[in-house]
Formats: sequence, structure tokens, C-alpha cells
Amino acid sequence: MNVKKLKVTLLSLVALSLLVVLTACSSSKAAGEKLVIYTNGDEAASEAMKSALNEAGYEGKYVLQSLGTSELGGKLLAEGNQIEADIVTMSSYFIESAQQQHNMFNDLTFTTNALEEHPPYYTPVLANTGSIFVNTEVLKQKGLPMPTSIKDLAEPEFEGLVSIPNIMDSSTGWLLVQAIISEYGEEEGKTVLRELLANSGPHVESSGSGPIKKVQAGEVAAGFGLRYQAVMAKESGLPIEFVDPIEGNFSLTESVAVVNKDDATTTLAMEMAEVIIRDARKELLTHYPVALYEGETVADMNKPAYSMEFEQPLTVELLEQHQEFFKSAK
Amino acid sequence: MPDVKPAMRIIYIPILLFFTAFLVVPLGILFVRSFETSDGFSLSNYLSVLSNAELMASIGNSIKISSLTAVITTFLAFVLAYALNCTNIYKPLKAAIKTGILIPMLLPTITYGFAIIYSFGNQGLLTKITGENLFGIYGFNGLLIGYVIYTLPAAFLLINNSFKYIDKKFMIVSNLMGDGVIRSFKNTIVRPLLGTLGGAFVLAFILSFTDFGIPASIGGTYTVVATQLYQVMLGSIPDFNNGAVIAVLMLLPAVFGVLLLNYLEKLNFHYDKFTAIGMMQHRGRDVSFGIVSTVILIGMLSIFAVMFIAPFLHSFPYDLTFTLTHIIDTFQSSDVRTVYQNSLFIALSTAVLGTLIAFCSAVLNVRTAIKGRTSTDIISMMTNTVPGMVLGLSYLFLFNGSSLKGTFTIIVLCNIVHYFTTPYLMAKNSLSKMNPIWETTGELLGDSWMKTVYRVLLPNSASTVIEMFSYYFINSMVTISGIIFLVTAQTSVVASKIKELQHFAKFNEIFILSILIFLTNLVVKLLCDHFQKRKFNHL
Amino acid sequence: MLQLQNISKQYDLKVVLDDINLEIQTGEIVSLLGPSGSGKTTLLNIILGLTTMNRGKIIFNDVDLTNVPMKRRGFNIVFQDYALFPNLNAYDNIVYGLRNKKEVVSEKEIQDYIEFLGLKPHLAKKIGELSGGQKQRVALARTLVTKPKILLLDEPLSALDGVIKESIKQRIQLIAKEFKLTTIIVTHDPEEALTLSDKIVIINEGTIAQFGTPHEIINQPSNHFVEEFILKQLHIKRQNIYNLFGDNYA
Repeated sequence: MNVKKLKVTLLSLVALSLLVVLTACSSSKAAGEKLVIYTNGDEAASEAMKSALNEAGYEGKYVLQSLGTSELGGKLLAEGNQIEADIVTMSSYFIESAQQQHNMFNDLTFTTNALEEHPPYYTPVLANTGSIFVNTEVLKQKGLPMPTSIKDLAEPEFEGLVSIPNIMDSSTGWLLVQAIISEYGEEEGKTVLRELLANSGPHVESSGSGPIKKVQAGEVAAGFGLRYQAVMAKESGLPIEFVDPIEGNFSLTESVAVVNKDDATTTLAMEMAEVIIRDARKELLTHYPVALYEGETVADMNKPAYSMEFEQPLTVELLEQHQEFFKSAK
Repeated sequence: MPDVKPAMRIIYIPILLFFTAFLVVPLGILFVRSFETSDGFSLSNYLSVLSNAELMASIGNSIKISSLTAVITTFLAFVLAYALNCTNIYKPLKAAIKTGILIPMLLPTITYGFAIIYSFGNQGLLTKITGENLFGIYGFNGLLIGYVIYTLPAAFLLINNSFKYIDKKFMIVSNLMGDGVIRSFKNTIVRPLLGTLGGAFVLAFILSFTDFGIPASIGGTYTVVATQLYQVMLGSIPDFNNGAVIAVLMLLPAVFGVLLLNYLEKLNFHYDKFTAIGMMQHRGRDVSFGIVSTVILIGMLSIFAVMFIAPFLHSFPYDLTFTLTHIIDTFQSSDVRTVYQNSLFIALSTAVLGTLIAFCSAVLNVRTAIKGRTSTDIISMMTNTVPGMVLGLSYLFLFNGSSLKGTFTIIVLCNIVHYFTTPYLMAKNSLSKMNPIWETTGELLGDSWMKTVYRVLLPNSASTVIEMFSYYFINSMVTISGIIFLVTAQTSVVASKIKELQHFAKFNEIFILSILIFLTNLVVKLLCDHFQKRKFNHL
Repeated sequence: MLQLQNISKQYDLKVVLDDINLEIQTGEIVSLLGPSGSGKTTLLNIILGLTTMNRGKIIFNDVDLTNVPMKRRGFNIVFQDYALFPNLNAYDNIVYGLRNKKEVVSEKEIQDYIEFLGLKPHLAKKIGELSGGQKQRVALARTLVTKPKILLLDEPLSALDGVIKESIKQRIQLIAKEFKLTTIIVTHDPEEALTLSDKIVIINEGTIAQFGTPHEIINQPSNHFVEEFILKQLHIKRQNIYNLFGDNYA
């Protein structure tokens, strides 16, 4: 009789799984109608955009997928408007290159009051500024001086105790390279970068937020990354201090663009892109304190000491040149 | 064996079509793409990859570290299996080894890397306990630890299984004949196990060579072929044709390994019968093996310990007070719920459909005379050979323009094909042991063939079917190599979500998701074991 | 009445059965006796319909069954290893076939078969818990409830202990008589064949060496093979038993 009971259990197990499969099937169909947003923005940026969209009543109607800058860049260049995403937020220079190659973005149908001029198919979402930061406890523990420049981190005493982002994968890494090249030129710059890379060893991070995490975890004493992250870490009570390097604080903007898909979702995508700019900026400004639109202000602590801009316009070609420079310094 | 019935063809033809469409054709396309250039077909892709110093170095690295992993893993697995089978160590310890060793199988490999960072890193748990940095973990050392942990359970299962078939009476005979310890060990243990030990080595090598999760998490600057493949395909300048070439190059050692495995199979001894016999008393042996195996087990498990601790602390390793906020935050995110549901859905679908396909294939192979039935054996050898990453990539090539792109279906199909071999062999083994005239008997009693399969073969394989289900389910939950090229924003699963979280270095969330996978797999495994045991008691 | 006409069978080039002709009357117990490899099991499988023949005809009660598939011939068999289904208990094995054709037997008849074969105490047991003789009887019951027109038994006694052998033999004879069931038995043991059946077909190298009653075979062996391999064995056996008990028991 037990055998019978077992058989019933088995059969009902199978039936149950089939049922789950079926219900999930139908629910997955519903998921198929969601709008997809690809972003290279990090957590804080994603959260700000999500809460703006959710408040505007779009909760459950979209999926927001975070990707590395290089990964998203690769997808944009390889897939054009065949990309899964309906909306993309990405480093501005990459959006420009993708548009040149594939003509894949629609002109925005809403207007903004951006401080700086931009092409009609994108508008800036946020700007990132680079700086140095240190873990004061590790610094003390290892008896190291407080650095004031990127060059200081290339000193032999910092060997194995520095973390930097990799320009091959991360746009934050480019901020570092821009600072080095504009201060020291290609030749001396290469020496500085070579020593810095040697000091960083295994702590050359593919993610722009990698170095701050390593510094927070105490894996290394100092790092280069996004300035605001160090400010936030310090405010939350961690033993972190940010240092504006004398080479300069360089910035990159990230922008939102709507992929040209010729269907009903494009209209919805345009509405959501507008919501991101209109409603998410307030929260974004607290994390990425760079004023981009008229009427925006930032606190003094968030104003970098040595704000700088690279002398040439930022393009994918320039990035590739700088990537070569980075590689040759290895 | 019954005559060929129409019902058999009704099952056989779809299975053959299925594997043609989802194994043979994709791999064919992969080969074609590897020769394709902007101006016709040529070897230039191969030349460009082979002349790329960085890529070649990564292949060299992969071979080097996989070989070393295989040596260490085989040795450790042998020690554990020996302790289990040939010593009188404390019984509960034996049970602990048998269960504990399997724990890593319930976790995705990408988790291993993060557990190692949190255990051996500058501020890691084990570093804190020992007071100093044991060694640099990023790159070679970390990879090695990860690979060994990853391959140890599989190698152990293989060797432990073979130990059961060693006739232990030979040890007593050898002893009575006056053999010394070394000679006796060589003749009664090593020699009969030679084939299996070789098999364990090859298995460990292939597993480490093709894994993506571990190098993705802890590879550092030490490049291996799996991460190179990922970068070429999804990096800043994607090159699909070179990706195809790397995939083909990745396939080569695997093909070689499987051929070697088949050859080693012949080295194995096959004793006609074996008797359970008590091991001779030897305190020194028992104590030393007891200690060594405990050290191996604890060493392995301690690495995972941090994973269960860190998410419950405010800010590991600075603020060590207990908190549930990380857990609550993670579960409140609708993202996490969605990817978990996706994972569950994919694992269940894979388990149900995969078990069905593997079982039917085995029935056709073992219990029918249908023409071409050996093709399922060839399929199983192919699926055993093709690494998950290569299979996923070939799907990407073949189905990119189709409606299958970005669906759950393609992920489920990939998992079914990727993990086909083991469940198929399980079913085959169980079915071939059954009385060959059951089908005839059923027919004489009025059954159609399908009815006998359902009323007799299936219930008598229940235990195996449950095991197949559990194998498919658990592997679908943890795999990342197979699906990394196939997941999209709308079909992302827990393992790929971990990869995404890694980008933000959100270790707490990574560990919580890993625990979620772990617990899910544990529940499924325990449930399946429970049903299996009950079934077994009835026969 | 079952008639076999000119039956021949060959596998590739090897001739297994060569021009077999045979007539078996309704209700008879007939043994197919021969050494291993003689073709007796092949002949049984041809009658059953499991194996196809190259030449010849099978006629049962004037109906030509040559091209009728196994399932529709209405014969049934108890295999040497019984082929019981271990996922079912003894009772569920017995009634297995009734799911497919309920109208064949009534509940009362099933109980009669069970009673007749002495299986009542064992019905709830799992197959693994039954002894060899009990398994044999369960297999017999499972076959009998389908009411076969001919009962085929493949080496029915070979897997049994000595004592049980005799009781199963009696049981088979009772069944044949009780249900007027034509029974064909394959065996390699001359003693078994001669003490169990009404008629014996001695098969050697694919041909019939002799077909007759036990009496005919003992007293008028038709050729050297029957004498040498069948009778000689029995004589040795007899001699051994005489030696054991002493001549006075002769």
C-alpha cells in the first residue's frame, strides 16, 4: 500500500512542477512586455532612476540592467538598434560614437535646460569626478604619509597598497589617465603610470567602484576612484578620507538616450527617459554632486578643489588612444 | 527485446531532432564562424588568435593551473576516499566526510571566489584568525584554491565509487603472502584504481579548464582562457569570429580529455563479485587518516563559513554586531525576487524536461532494438565534451536573430543539453540492470509498449529518476558558464545577478543570494534523498 | 489442437531449426527436451510469437496463426526467471493484465486461482520477499488469469530447490487437467520431462530426434542420440539411487 502512496506522491510532485512551470510560463510572458533599460551607472545611479520611475507609476513595467561600461559599449557597437534595451544611460562619448555608427537613437521629444550644449538625441543624467581616497587606519598601521597627488601613490612605499580602476573596462579609469597625461605629458606620464601599475599589482579593478571597496575593506591603503563615493564613505563614519589630487579632478558625463525601435514602446521609452531627467536629478545630485541643469546647486564639500577638463574633446577614438597608452605602460 | 513499435519512433525522432537542432547545428555554426572573415573563409582568425601573445599566455596559464589543480584534487580526493573505505576511523566522521564534501556542489562557482576573498584577503576571516596574510589570493593562488574546491567533490565521488568495487580480500591475501606495506598498497589499491585516478585527474582538469565563475571572481591579473573568451565576446571591442576561434581552442583539450577518459576506462579492474569485509586493525593508520581528512574537510568548509557570517554583520570586518538589515534589504528588492523566481523556473523546467529527455533516450538505447539507437550514446559523449561556455556561445551564434533570443526557453534548452550526460548514464545504468523480458511480459498481459514503460520501467527506475531530477535541478541553479552568453535583462538568473553585483562589489548581496541558492538546492537534495530512500526501502 | 508444419529458423547462416513438424492435442502436457543450443527455446518462442520463423506454418484449432502477432495469438508464457515486476506486490502482479481486459475473469475466478496456487498468505508481499517457489506460483497465477489458450513454460523448475520441484510438478499437472490447458514446457532435464509430461519432443541440433510418450521413449529409443544422451543419464541416476538404498528396493 505504501508503494501506492509513494506513486501518488511522485505523480503529484511531477504535476506540481508542471504547474509551477506553466504558471511561470504565463508570468514570463508578462515579463516579455517590460521595457528594458541598460545602464552603466552604478548602484546609486540605478537606485535614483528606479525610485523616480516607480514614483511616476512605472513600477513593474520596466527592467533595469546594470552593465560594465566596456560591456555595454561593446553591446552598443556590436548590436546597434537590435540591442535588447529600449533606453540606454551611458557615458556620453560612447552614445555619440554609437549614434555615428548605427544611427540608433531617436531625437529626444522633450526639452531640458542643460548648462552645456548636447546633441538632440541625448541629455546628461549625471557627471562623475575623480579623486584620490585613503583608508586612514591602514595608512596609520603601515606608517604611510598622506598622499596629495597621484604621483605620490606611485612612490615605492605604496607598493601593493594602491588600487586603481582599469581604463580597459572602466570609464573611471579614464579619469585617472586624463589627469596623468594632462599634468605630465605622454612621456613622463608613462613612467608615473608604470610605477602606479606596479604598486597596484592585483588591485587594478575592472569596475570604477572597485578601488573604493578595496580601500574600505582595508585591502589597500589608497585608491583612485569617484570622489562622491569617498565623501559618502567618510560621512557614514568609515575611516576614509578623500584627497583632491594636484593633477586635477577630471569629470565625465553620462547621458540618457532612447533606442530607435519603431514600435509602441518607443513612445513609452521617451516618457520614461523624461521622468528620469525630471524626477531623478534631485537624488542623483546628492550622489553625483555636479550641477548639470539650470538651478542646481551643490554643497561646498562636494566641490572638487582642482576641477579640470581635458583639452581635447572626449571621443571613443581618444579613449582608444589612451587605452593604448595605458597598455604600453604595463 | 520487443520489436520496433511505432511508439518508439514517435519518441526517437523528436529526440534526434532535438539534439540535431540544439547540439550538432550550433557547434557546426561555431566552426563555420571561426573560419569566417570579412573576405571569405580562411585561417586568418586562427592566425590572429595564435599570434596574440596575451591570448596564448592565457591558454598556457589555463593549462598550467588546471594541471596543478588536477594533481592536488586527485591526491586529496584519493586520501578522503581511502580514509572512508580502508580505515576504521570514527563512523560519524565518515558520514561527515561523505556529506560535507558535497556541499560546494550546491553553490555556484562564482561564489567560491568571493568566499576566498573574504577568508584569505587582508581583512579576511581566516587572516584575522591567524593574524597575518597567508599569501596573495588574487590570481594564481586564489584560482588554485577555488578550482580545487570546485573539482574535489566530483573527483571524490568518482574515486569513492571505484573503491567500492575493489575486492578488499586481496588486501588480506597480500598481507598473508608477506607483502610489505608499500608493495601491498601498490598492488591492492593503486593498481586497481589506476584508471579511476587517471579519470579523476582528467575530470578535474577539464572542469577547471572550462570554468568561468572562479576566474571571473578571483582571477585578478592572471588571465585564463575562460575570462579571455568572455572579454573577446562581451568586452569593449567584441570580436565574434575570434571568440569562435577561442571557443574551438577551448574545445580541444576537452575533446582530448574525454578520449583519454574513455581509454582509461579500459584500465579499470572489474571484479566479478566483492564482499564486505572488516578492515584490519591499525591504530596509527586510523588516527593519521582521521586527522588528515578532518583537516581537508574543515579547511574546505571554513572557506565557506564567512559566507554565512558576513551578511549578518553590520559591516564586516569593522562593525561585527549582528544585524538583519542586509537580509531584509536584499529581499525587499523586487529585482532579487524576480531573479530568484527566474532561477527557480529555469531549474524546474530543466529538471522536468531534461529528466524526460534523458530517460527516454536511455530507454530507447537500452530497451529497444530501434535502428540507430546508439546515436544517443554518441550524443551523450558529445555533451560530455562540450564545455558550457562553448555551448552557450554556439547558441548565441545560431539563435541570435531568431525569436529564441532572450527567452527562458533557450536557457533551459542549453542547460538540458549541457548537463545531459550524467542523467542519461544514470538512467542507462539503472535500465540495463532490469530484466530484459519485462516488455514482452507486459505485452503478453495486454500492455502497449508505452504502457509497460509507464507501468513497469518508470516505477522501477523511480529512485534513479529522482536522482536525475535532483542533478538537473541543482546544476541549473548553480551554472554560470553555460548561460553567461544567453541571459538578458529579462531572463537574468541568480548566478548571473551575482556577476552583476560583483561589478559593484556588493558582497553582502552576493552572499545572501548564494545562501538562497544553497538553501534551495539543499531542500531539493534532501527531499530527493528522502524519496529515494523510501523507494529503496520498498524494493 | 496445435499443428506445427515445416518450421525452419536460421540466424545468419546458422540453422537453428530445420523442418519441424508436430501435432499437440488439446489438454496435453508436452515437453521440449534437448541439450542447450538444440533449438528448443527458439521453438518455444516461435510458438509464442516472440521469434519469427523463416519458413513453416503454425495452425491452432484450424486457424493459421503464422502471421498473427504475439499479442493476438492468445498464448502466454512463464519465463525462466519469472519476470515479475518488483515495483508491485504479489497481488498487483497477478492482476496486472486485468487492467487491459477486465471482462476475461471475474473476481471470484481470481480468488480461485490464488486459492488453487496457495498464494493467499503472500499476496501483500513484495517480490523481493517471496521465495523461489512462491515467485514461480505468482508468475503462474499472473499468466493463468489471462486465460491463455496455450500455456508455455520455459525451464519452470530449473531455479527451484529439490523439494519444491516435486510440488510444482504436481501443480502443473493439476492445472493442465483442471483447466484442460495445453501446456508446452521447455526443459533440459530428462527426468523432469519424462515424469511431468504426457508427451516428449526430443530435439537435437534443430531436428526432432523423437516424439512420443515417456513409455515409448524409455522402451523404444528411436536413435543413438536418444539412447546415448537421454536414457544413459537416467540409467546412471537409477544406478546411483539403487546404490544408495540397496538392491532390495528395486
